[in-house]
Amino acid sequence: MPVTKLRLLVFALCFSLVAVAPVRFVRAEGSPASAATVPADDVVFRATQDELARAVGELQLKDFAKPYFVEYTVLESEGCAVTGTFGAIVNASSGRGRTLLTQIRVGDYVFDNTEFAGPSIIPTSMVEDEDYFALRRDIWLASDGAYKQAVESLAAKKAYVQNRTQKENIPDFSKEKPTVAVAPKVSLSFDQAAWEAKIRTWSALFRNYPEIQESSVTFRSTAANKYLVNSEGTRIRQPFRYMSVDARASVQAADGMSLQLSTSFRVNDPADFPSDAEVEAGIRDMAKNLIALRAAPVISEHYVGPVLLAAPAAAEFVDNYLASELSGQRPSLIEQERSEGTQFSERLNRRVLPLFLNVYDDPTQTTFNGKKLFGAYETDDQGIPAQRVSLIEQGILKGLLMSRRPRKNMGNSNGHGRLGGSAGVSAQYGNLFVTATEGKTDEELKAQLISLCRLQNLEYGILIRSVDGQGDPLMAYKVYVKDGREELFRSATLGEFSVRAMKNEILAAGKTPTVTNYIAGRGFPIGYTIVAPAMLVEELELKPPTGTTQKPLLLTHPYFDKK
Amino acid sequence: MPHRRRLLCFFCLVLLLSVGFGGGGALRVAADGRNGAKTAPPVAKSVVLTALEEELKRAQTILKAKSEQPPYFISYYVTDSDSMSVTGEFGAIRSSDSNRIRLLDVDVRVGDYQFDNTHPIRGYGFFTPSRSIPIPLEDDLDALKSTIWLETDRRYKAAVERLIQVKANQAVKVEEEDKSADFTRETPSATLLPTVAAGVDRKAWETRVKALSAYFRQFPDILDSNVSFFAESSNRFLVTSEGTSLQHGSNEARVVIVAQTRASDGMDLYRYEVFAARTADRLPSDAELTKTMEKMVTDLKALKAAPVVEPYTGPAILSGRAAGVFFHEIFGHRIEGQRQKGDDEGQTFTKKINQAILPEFISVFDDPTLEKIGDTDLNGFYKFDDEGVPAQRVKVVEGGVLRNFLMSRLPIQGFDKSNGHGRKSPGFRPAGRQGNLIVEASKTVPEAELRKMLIAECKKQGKPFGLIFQDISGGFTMTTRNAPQAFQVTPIMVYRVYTDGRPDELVRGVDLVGTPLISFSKIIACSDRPEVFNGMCGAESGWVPVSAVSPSVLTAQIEIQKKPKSSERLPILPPPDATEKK
Repeated sequence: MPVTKLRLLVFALCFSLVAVAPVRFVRAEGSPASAATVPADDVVFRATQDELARAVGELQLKDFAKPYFVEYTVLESEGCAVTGTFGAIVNASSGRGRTLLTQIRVGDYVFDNTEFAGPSIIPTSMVEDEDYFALRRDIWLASDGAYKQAVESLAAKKAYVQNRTQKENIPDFSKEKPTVAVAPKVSLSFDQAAWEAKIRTWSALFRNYPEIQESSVTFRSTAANKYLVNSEGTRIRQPFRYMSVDARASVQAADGMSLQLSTSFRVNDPADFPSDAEVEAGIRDMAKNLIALRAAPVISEHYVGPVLLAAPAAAEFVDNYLASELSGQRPSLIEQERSEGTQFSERLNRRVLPLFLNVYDDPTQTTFNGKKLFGAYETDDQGIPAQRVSLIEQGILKGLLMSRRPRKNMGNSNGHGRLGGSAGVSAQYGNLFVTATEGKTDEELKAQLISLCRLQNLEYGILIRSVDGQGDPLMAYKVYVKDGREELFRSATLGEFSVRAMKNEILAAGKTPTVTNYIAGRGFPIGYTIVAPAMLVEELELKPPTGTTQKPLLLTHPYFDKK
Repeated sequence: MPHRRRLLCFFCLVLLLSVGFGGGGALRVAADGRNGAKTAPPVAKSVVLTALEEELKRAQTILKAKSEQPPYFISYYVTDSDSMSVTGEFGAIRSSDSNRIRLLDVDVRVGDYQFDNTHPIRGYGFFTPSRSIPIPLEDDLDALKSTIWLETDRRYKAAVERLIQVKANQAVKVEEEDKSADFTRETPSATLLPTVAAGVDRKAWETRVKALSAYFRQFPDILDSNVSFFAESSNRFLVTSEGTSLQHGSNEARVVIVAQTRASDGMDLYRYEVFAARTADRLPSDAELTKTMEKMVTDLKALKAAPVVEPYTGPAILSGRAAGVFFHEIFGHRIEGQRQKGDDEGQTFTKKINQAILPEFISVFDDPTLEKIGDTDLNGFYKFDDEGVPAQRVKVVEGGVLRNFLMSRLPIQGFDKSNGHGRKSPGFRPAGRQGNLIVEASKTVPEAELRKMLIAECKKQGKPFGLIFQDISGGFTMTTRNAPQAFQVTPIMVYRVYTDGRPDELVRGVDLVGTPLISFSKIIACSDRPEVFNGMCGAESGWVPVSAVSPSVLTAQIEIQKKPKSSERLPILPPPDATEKK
């Protein structure tokens, strides 16, 4: 079931064990109206609800308090991966898994055991089968461990606070209305043999490129279901579907330097997967780019000057420098000794970007310009309905992404509590949009790059079309001032860049933002999207490679040797 | 995880490898086996072997032509493994996986047999770990070959670099005590045995495992339990520049049952049982397995009520299985060839060839060619070791006198040939390892007599009781010099045997510890009934299946220490009701 077609059902009944507040029902925009309760035949719901009742009502050590809040997240996923190289399958694996995340809070909303030292969400594995009794046993033992740990943490946290003066008294956990949103489950269905055949064909494409030393093509498909059940009455079941083909290849340049490129085709609805011809063309383009890169000159000197980031490179730039600044997650008590949060978090209502840029996050938006957005969701990982949050308006910081961890003057979640990272759930972006009010065409941006370079007496400026995961250029070009010619070069790394510099150094942005989808999470997929236009940055540093490289190979590729 | 799973340390973690994993018997048989008099049909050479042979020739030719220092030895070793594992818990499947993988290990040596790049660099610890490359699962010659050459190039360059380091290290350090060569010369093996195919029905095993594991549902005291089934078919292909070209296959299967409870003082108590067989159909029936589980539950109930024993030294009987592990740890690891070499090693027995090290009524040999004893399959059975040397029966101790070591192709002073004990798992360099370690006694007494002798020995020493170690889960030992030369064996079922005629008493919370030389000198007698311990052994060359076979042993003195114990309380709430209809 693709994210965009999520049907979040409207419920007629409040199904909660501890009804502390009116239940909020979520209804997806445009979804067919259908009423339902928490399905009685769902074993995961039954097992978690029944253990939840025991944990809330009976889980107590003598002389200690019962939990005031209990939450179970169940992450189910099944996936498969097929990897091929040079026309043959190297690995074909499939697997299932079910993980339980247990959160038990003792104390109260104002002061509890969490956000002190160490995570308060404890992951354990569960049986794969739909077996009510075995599932309950797993939850029973996990709850026991989590409760005992919570009791100890609360005592330690109280002792810690007693010895210190506190600047401000902000609650540990926000009070929110419970949500019931149960979407249909997804499961993995695909034709393994057909995909293996495709992987053979696509990986055999590399038989056409003698320069390429190593290559592989991997198909992945994942179907995941996430459950959230808590003592406030929240009941959520949300699916996530993911399918991808990744092709990667490596070459060695004449100077011995090893170069890699990859290309990916990712969808969150199998029906959207590109045609075979498109995939084949994409792999061939990647191979050709890699061969061009192999022959391209190394950037020979430090470059400090204007850089034009084409849209995909700009998205990576936004992800690396801007995105994490927008989190309003207040650090835990121990972390506060070192930092009070991000640089942006203390600059509300101050200008942090140029006047022509706006930034917002909107997980409720499922498509943009016809492209599906992976960061879309109906409710976040704490059960809070997704909301559009305006973050930066005309360069001024107006808001922050919030989870159920309150901060000063921001007492509630805005639906951005997301799983991932070591902290369990924290405030993170879903679909992050960067838009420009005076967007320019690609030609206008290139012309502006050239004129900037001319002013600075530079022979050329830099255009970066794509970058790797570290943000270092992959496909990057010198743009000559003289004639506007673009010349590919390789192996530069990006110098340091401070997020503070964004305020003044982004000089212009493109008209058309493009979509870049990401998948994170080990075992359980978590989707993110950045929608951003090209950006012209006044000054970035590019460094030539350092260190030594391997000598060219002595042995030759047997397939091409033969020919 | 709220409770530790896979807690059992099986056998011998040499070199302080600290974590073991469930694994018991694993019996291997080459598929050509037992066709004896009949003429075997000709075996086709696999595409994998052809790819390895062709690439090896090409690499040799090119490196000879293009490099100043061509390798003197190249080998390609492929392990093609098809495995599955199903774990069930309280009637539900916890995990069910299957995995097919072909892993290539490339070895390139520069220098010569006497002195090459694998020579240890002193002062820098152990040799660097190797690594495996996944290669295509399909018999596509071009695709297979496309994955071999790059790794060969990388390993050749690494070998040349390391030889320079080795030479420099030789120059700056004192002369080595053991001046033996770095690689033995062996007769190449060119043997094609049929490959094996997996033929195990995973769905059927899922049903069986679910049904079996549901047995524990009725016991609220059992905190954790599981029933696991494991099966693997492996085919191995080895090609060397010396002319070895080898292809052979083997199957293994096992069922492991684990159950855990916790005593009121927080001590976690375990029972585990392993059934190993060459193939899945040779494993015990459901009725037999259920009977085992019944016994496990009874034992755990008794253990929960059993007193915790205080540290003690005195006489004891090690049952055959316990004695097998004892010999594997205390003795087996110390007669592995490479442990006689190198300044880091304890070298307990290095200079003791032709000297008495055990009582004269005990002989020990290691015989990987032995498929089974009685009806029990032996885990350490193989036809060729991982360096392509045929398995051999090695007489290690004859009448108490040390005669030989377990040799891989790493020579040691006085021993310049492998005796077919070079073993490893993919990604590691081979080392001398045990296969089927067999302890024999020329003078034996019946089990009942051994018990009488125990009581007599206790009386002689003025001890009110002796101990019987009935069952054991595994152990470990340290053989290097920077750690104490000690071993530890982890018993599960230990009884006090009183001299005053009181009934035997089950106790809990003990580990058996000691040092090798003292322990050997205390052996008094052996029973006439050998028992088999099948297990997995982890050491510097990875995990390998092994067996240890021994009769019960009476020793005048063993030492036990308190087992480390958790301080976890029992769960606050009772377990969910298994009978509840929901």
